[in-house]
Amino acid sequence: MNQQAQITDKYELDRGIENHLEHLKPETIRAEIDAVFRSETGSRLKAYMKTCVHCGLCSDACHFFLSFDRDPRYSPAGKIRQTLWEFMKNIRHITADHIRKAAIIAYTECNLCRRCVLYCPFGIDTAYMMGVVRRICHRLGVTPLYLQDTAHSHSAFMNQMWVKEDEWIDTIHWQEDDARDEMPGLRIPLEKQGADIMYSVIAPEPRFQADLIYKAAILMTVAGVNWTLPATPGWDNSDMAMYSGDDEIMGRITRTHFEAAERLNVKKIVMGECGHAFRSVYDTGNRWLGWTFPPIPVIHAIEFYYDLLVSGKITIREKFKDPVTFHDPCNIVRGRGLHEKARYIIHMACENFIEMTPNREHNFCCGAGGGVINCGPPFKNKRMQASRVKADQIRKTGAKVVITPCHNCHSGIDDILHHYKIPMTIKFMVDILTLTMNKPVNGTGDGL
Amino acid sequence: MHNLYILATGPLLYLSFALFFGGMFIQILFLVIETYRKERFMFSFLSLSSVLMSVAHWLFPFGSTVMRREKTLTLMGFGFHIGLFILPVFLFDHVLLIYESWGVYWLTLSGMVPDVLSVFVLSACVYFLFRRSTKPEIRYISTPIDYLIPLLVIFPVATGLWASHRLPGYPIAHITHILSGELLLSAIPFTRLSHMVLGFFTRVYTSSEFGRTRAAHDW
Repeated sequence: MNQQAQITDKYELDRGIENHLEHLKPETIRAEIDAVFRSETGSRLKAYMKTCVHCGLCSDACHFFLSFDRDPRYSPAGKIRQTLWEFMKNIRHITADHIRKAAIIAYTECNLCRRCVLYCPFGIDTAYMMGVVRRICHRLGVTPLYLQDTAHSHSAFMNQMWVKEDEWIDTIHWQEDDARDEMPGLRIPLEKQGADIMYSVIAPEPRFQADLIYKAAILMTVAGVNWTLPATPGWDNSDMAMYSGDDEIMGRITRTHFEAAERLNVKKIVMGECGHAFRSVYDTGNRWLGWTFPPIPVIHAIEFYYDLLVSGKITIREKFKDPVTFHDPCNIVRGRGLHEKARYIIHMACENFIEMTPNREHNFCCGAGGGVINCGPPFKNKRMQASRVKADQIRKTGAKVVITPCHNCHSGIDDILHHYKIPMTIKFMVDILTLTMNKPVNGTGDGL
Repeated sequence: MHNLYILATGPLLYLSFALFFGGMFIQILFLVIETYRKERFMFSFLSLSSVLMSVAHWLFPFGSTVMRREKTLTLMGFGFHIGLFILPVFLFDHVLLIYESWGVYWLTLSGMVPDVLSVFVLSACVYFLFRRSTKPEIRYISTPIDYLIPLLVIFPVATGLWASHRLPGYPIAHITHILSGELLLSAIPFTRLSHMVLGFFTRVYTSSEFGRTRAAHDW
């Protein structure tokens, strides 16, 4: 084992994982794995496991595999071999050590980005299978400490960052005050019944990126959108429980989100620039609740900005001059096909756009998504090592600014830029739009 | 020898047909029933247009990104699968046997085509084995049966080529050809060879999800 690997392994001690392993009995492990196989999975998992011909084509899709010098343990099929494969073959011989290994692989060495699905001739969904491993680990109580803390926050406060109700309302008022300096007629309507749109964000916005709420308010006001935010739980659309394997809390979060929209009697929900939240609300959480598609139309911020630009509700005053590149977030590109709309917005707002290669559905993952960044400091070194191909891909563009409409991608790429000393900055789409669009000084809009 | 031939072209042949068709039928039946019982939601996401688009990209050479990147594997893979499907079904000798037994016949291959296809299939098997044993990421996920499967294919094709050219010892090659062909057919439902049918099921679901729910390409 080389020195780097030793360092990596040293940092992989996670209290959340280790503390629970001590109490695990072999019969508990067997019972929980068996329960997941019997009652929570079916022919889909079996067909995936039987159909895989072990061709290895998925390997080159994975940024972990590529960044760790083609180490077979990090290939998608290699990760399945060390986890589900073992569970299915030797259920009687699975020990706490197996579970530790499985938890580390499933939570910290796979971003569930689904890039490998595009490289499998049979369309085998490795992300789904790693999700099954996470579910087993969750049922055994073996989850990374930081990720579990987020799930606890969801459970107690229905948001990701322990934001209390008064803190949320106070942050909205504070942002409204600040924004009124720039646009005196601006309001951020809380609890407005019958608005056209409920805008929902993720908890890191009120917690430490409150300027994004400010910018969203400017955008809404200029466009004259009839919008509102809920004052009660449901304002946060994020969902780390989906990634910790806690499906029950995932369902509660999604239900609370839709119930807030229902109570406010809005026509649709516009979600802020977050990818995983969109996956939960649009694709995963709603299904757990038994809805084929969301009961209230849900669109991601990119679709919303696109509609505003196409309909002429916002117009560009002066294009952004610095060369920009765009990182396609997995959950809204492989998860919703919004890549062309995002490019439309960039072409409208930026003068010099440089594509990353590969791009669109084939873009490399940021390394942070899938709850990996939420596993916290114990795994940050490994996350940085695993992002080497991403760093090279970004560096090659020669751009000055990376735009990405996803919070996880934003934080992950920010870490990459610092770690690999790439002289670039990172921006959300709303940062670019509020910089470049026409803003009447006394704009009011319909949001009063 | 003659008795063995009678056995191989009689009971064993029907046994292999029964194992292949019966085994695959039962697998598909269980798959559909279990999906209906436990994951019925999957049916509500199916989308014919998405499936057709995706299958079209994956069924034609170089239609998907990974095929364009892995050019040798794509050529070998397509030649191998086309050969493996065409040879047993359209070979003159096979169709003649079927005509003699059941009185039905269809188009057959002529000239050098069967030989070329056979050599291609054999080369592809050697290539697959070479690839599996030399690439660390594939070796890591390979089981003994993964190395055995190309050999299961090599046997009937090589002995078929041998027997059809009447090379020395061809009667033995002929019997081996029949028996190994039957073994290959029987093994399909019980090994990863079942991907020939199950692969379509996984592709149908994935392409429906990508095309309809996610509005993205999966190729």
